Amino acid sequence: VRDADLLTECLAEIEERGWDLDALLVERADLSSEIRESLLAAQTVRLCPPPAVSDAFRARSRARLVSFIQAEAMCSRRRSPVERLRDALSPILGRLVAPGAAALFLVVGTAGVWSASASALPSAPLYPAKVAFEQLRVLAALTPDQQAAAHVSNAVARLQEANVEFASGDRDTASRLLQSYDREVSAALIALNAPSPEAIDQQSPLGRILTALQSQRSQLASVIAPSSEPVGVQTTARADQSAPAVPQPATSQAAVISAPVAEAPDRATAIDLPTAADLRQSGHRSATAPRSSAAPVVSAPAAAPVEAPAAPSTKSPAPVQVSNPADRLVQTIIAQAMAGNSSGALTTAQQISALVRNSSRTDGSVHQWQGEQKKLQAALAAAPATTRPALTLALDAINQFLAPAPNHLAPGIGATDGATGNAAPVPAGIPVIPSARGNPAPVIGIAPVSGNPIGSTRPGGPAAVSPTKGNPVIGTPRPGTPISVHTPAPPTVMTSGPVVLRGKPIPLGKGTILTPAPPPDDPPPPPPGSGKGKHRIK
Amino acid sequence: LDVAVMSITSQKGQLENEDRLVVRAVKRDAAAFGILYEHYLDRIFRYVYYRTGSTNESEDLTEQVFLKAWEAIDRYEPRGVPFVAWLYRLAHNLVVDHYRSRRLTTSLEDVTEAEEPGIDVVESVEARLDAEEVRKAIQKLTPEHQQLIALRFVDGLSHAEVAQIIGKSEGATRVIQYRALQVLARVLQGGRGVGSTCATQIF
Repeated sequence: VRDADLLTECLAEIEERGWDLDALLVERADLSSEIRESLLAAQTVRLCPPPAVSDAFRARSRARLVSFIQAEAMCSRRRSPVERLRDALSPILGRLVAPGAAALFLVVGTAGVWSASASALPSAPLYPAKVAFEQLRVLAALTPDQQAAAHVSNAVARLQEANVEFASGDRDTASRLLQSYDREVSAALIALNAPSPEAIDQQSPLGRILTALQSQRSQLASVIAPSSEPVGVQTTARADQSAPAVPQPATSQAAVISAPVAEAPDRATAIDLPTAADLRQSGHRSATAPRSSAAPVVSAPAAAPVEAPAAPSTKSPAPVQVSNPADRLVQTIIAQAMAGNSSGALTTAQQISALVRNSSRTDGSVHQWQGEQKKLQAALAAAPATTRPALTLALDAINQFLAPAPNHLAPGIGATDGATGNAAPVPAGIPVIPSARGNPAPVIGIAPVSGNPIGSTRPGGPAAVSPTKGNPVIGTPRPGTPISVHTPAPPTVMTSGPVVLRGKPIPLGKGTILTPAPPPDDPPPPPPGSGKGKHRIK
Repeated sequence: LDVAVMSITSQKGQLENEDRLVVRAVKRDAAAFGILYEHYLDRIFRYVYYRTGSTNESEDLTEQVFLKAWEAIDRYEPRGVPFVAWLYRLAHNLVVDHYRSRRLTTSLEDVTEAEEPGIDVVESVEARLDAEEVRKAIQKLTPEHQQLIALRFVDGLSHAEVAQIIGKSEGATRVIQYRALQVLARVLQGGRGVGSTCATQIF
């Protein structure tokens, strides 16, 4: 340490003297040889010319430093929030923009095609797209109820298209559309595991819609040319063994509708189809259609029998295959009315009247007849004028059945005992005209004609309404419609039975003639619900 | 870089307003850092040159010293340590890293054959030979002795400055200086005989 300090001291003196080592060594002769050598080495290094930086390196190094600083400044300069957000999202957006744009384009394009094809007809270029969208809607349905609703919606579309095509005169296309309609209905029934539309709970929205659709389908099928349209399409799905059995006629396999050709095409366009809202509300299961694991088998529509009479006749058409006679008769009369078959419709109306008279007033029957009443009311609005009287007759009978008790017929009159089926006793004071079967029947507004009392269910029998003066209105009159009850038929000979006149029994023997009271010069309209014709006994 | 502000050096080789320049450079003022760069480039180069003995390596390492200095300038805290001492530390660390990466034990012969003079020597051949011999002699010293010789007698720093740079006390610096000069004197006087015993051992 001492030599180090001495060396340091000498070096300081040399520096002060400008590294004049010789002068120092002369003055400091006592320095050791090691110190002297160290001072000499230090002087050698100190006086050695230092290495100089070349100009090329200086310029190169400076340029490189400038580039480095500028590059760093470019990278680290403060960015705006928008730029930072963009930089942060750019990796994500880069991955999402292209697929998102493609998806948006697909969605917009699909929506456009769907919207444009919504009202397309089979002849339109977009009609396949419409059908494809409908199938997608069916595929998208998750539950059987949704599938059934989708099929029913498709059926509605087919029926609407058939109406339009028929109105435009294209019966073939309309016929094919009806076949498509039947397939959709069958698919809906399969989804619901119901053997037939009638097996679905009629109280459910889907049941009501299907019933209305079937009625309208029958109406449309009746006016489409029978030569090209298999109108007798069976829409009854054959359920498996687990499905509830539906009573069906043994011989009838399909709905057979007589469809005369001569009908105005615009008649079909008056059919009121259920709306989409109705279908949306019908998304619950029918209470009468239990679920089965096995899919029911649907009979092929092409094999359905067809009965296509060429012209209207008085022969009653084959009844529609339904589960109860009331519905069958109502559908039959609607088909006849729409077809212009006035005589057949009148016969069916008489059958309906007889049936409704023989119905017992239970909750089920009331509800059923209420449904039939609505169908007839709807059909009455669309039926041609020549068949409206028949519809009115049937509707009037139903109205009377559904009317409250005071306005209805006297208890027991003209109605059979619901339990026994026997005719109820006729109270005193009510004129009774026995029917051909011997059953007492009340006289309701219309005199029997040609010895055929009202209530005769014989097919082809003469009409009880005289057609001499236009179309008489029978039953409940429409507002503003004059009541015209005409009874030109000869008096009916009473064969037996008590007759009470003004509270006094009148003995009648054979040959007693009951004639209706002559119409006054200006007969006042009968009061509602009571003026069904009053007869006097001559 | 805006180096319009010319550096004004004092007689001791320190910039006037160096503290202000350093403060600006710490705030990443490129112009201020450019002034510091221009002023200390030669000194750092000389230091690195006597540490490595190679002009090319000295240029590369000198360049990296200032790039590192710019990257780390915001972490410099001018509390007791001069800016130049901070630069010398960076240079020292880079030289150490450089030799670590190369895993190289450089002999004096290899250095002599590989290196170009690259030094502004005196015009006389004798002077050029003296400078070359001095450089070769320093290359035979240990890194610590090289560092002290370069700082103390090439750059002319005081013991206090050298002590700050190498991180030791002034007394320790004096002892190191004494030993380094003794070895260097033997090398300069003994030539190969001495050099063979103290071959440059970087690590």
